Amino acid sequence: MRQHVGRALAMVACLACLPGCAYLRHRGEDAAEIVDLGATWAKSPYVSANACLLGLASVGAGKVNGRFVGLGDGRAAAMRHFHRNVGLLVWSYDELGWGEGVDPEKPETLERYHIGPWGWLKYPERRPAYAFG
Amino acid sequence: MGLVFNIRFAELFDFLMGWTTFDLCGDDGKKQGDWPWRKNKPRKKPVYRPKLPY
Repeated sequence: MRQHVGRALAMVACLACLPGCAYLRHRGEDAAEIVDLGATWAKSPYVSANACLLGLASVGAGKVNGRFVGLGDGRAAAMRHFHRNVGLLVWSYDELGWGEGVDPEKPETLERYHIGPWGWLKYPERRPAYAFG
Repeated sequence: MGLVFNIRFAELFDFLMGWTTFDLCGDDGKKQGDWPWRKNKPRKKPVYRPKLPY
């Protein structure tokens, strides 16, 4: 039984590698992007405490500027990580960066979005991945 | 040192709906996706960046 399961999984993995089977590869990428799970560390101490209501609003504030290891941004890796936010329930602002290209001074290298009732009304643009999280 | 645990519910729905070939997040084959009605359209304007004291 285990052999059959192993062969089936190997076959699926091989098919996912073929160009014609991009569909399966995309499903795998989607699955990997559901959860961020890992640890952060930095040379300087940072404090961040934030309570999030499904991404619709948040309360808290903080900043992390260091490195991350684990499953983040759809990949398992050790990488540069930046997060800064302020959450006032009716309005919250988040900046989030993954990967070696992240530079807090360059906003284009960060995902930035406003949430909370005011944030959703005033700044509706955001990528779906950071719509509810 | 800190711990990170975050669930992106939009990506969860994207994964489930992806099996029906509907790409909710518009990210199939792309590094970053967008809403279905914004696919392949440029952003209207940069997101406002408030100056935070930290």
